[in-house]
Amino acid sequence: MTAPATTAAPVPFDYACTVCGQPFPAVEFAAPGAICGCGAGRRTMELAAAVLHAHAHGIPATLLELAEDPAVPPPRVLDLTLDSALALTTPDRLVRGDPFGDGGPAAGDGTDAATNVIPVDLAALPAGDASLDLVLLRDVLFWVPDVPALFAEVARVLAYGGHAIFQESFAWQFPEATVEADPAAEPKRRPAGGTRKPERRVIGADVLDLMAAAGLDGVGYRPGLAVDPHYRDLLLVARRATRLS
Amino acid sequence: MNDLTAPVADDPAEPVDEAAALRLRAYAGQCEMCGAKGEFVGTSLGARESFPCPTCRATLRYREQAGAILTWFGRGRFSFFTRFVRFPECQNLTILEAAIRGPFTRYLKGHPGYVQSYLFDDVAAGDSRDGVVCQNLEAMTFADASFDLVITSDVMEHVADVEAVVAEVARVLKPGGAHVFSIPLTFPLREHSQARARLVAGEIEHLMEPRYHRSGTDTPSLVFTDFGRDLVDLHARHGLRATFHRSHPFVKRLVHSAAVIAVRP
Ligand SMILES: [Zn+2]
Ligand SMILES: [Zn+2]
Repeated sequence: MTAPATTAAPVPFDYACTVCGQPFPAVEFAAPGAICGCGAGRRTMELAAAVLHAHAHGIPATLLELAEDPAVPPPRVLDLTLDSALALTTPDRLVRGDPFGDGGPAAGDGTDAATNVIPVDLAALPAGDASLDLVLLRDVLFWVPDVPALFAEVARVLAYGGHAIFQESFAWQFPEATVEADPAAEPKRRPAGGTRKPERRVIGADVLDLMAAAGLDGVGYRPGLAVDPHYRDLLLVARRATRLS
Repeated sequence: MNDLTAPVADDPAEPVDEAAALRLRAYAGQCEMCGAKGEFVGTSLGARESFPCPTCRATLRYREQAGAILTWFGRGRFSFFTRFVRFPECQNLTILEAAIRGPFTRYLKGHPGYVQSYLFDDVAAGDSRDGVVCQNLEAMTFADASFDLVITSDVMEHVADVEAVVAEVARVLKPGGAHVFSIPLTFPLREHSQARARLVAGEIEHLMEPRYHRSGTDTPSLVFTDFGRDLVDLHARHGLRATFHRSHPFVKRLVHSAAVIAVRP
């Protein structure tokens, strides 16, 4: 018997942060909490990838590149994710809001736009008509009382060609149809924004039809599709349809 | 800042030879084409022609195209193309692919709305050979708004009049349709696309050292254009919104690899 020919074993790539570009070991990508030295965790990096894809034609590879790209106008953002990524990279023209409270005071002392977080009612977003390029939301569609009303409100504040990004998590596969919870039953509660919100529904792809009815063209974007089959997030990217002349 | 954001060699002393740097480098993932999970390993062919799926052998650039198609047409419901193909989301599409081989020709064979085209020298425009219709992408014989999806793979850099092709693609796409294509790209993206050659009165005039790729019929095919970020403007002139669709935005060294999706609103 002859010994098998020796072949070099492949070496795994590092990963890189879509907020700041710094490398980190691939195995850490699945870890909860902060992964990168800049403070970004996996959900932040997925959100950042979606922002780059939607707002900047996928040209910059990181939010830092986006912030420094003179050809990309800084977006006017309403960030309701309670994630500080955009505060780090695109603090100009950024309003941060907390949609998870019950009307009580949110974090921040009102002096710093990047760190101040204002309480936000999803039924009445704090922005004028067609005044924003990006609205970022995380884990809201499973509990918000009225999904079509939220889409209508998001469509109202988005400029034509602007984007809303809904980052939603899933136990397994994104279903075809939304399943509403039994209103008579005691609701299951899921984490959202540091609170436990009642699960009013498990959303499906038909929410894209609700978006379309509100004038938002939606797609399901999974930035981690090719690297992590066990995704837990789907980013529903909705583009405010261009006004027809 | 560029030190942080540019692709960084793991060992800064390592010579920067992209193809050599990728050989035997790997990541664990799932194939956007066939769904196989496993280790995707670089060869010395550079990123795009490399990292074949361990099961279906689709290389990075084809898998990136599959990922872009799933994003635009899959409603978030499909993680690989060969599954998507079996569902109404795909079966109800009309699809034009300008190719005579490649993974999409294989997986879309028998699809009710699938049309394959190629520019044959000896077939009249609109006529077919072996089920493949002869089309010049600069002047197609299809009616306006005929297709939901147009697929081209490493074709756009070889057309002499790219403006005419984009105009034609925009014409034959239905509203909501998209052209998903692969082209060679180097990052950072150049500001302006660069013509390497042009046609003057039917004769090729070389503006740069001629570069050839292998065509679908294994003949050498001249590269006319090196594309830059003004690809977005080029498409906007014809009413299409173009986006670089990165399939591996987290994988260092593959961060910049992208398919292009141009959508007709
Ligand atoms: Zn980072
Ligand atoms: Zn495969």
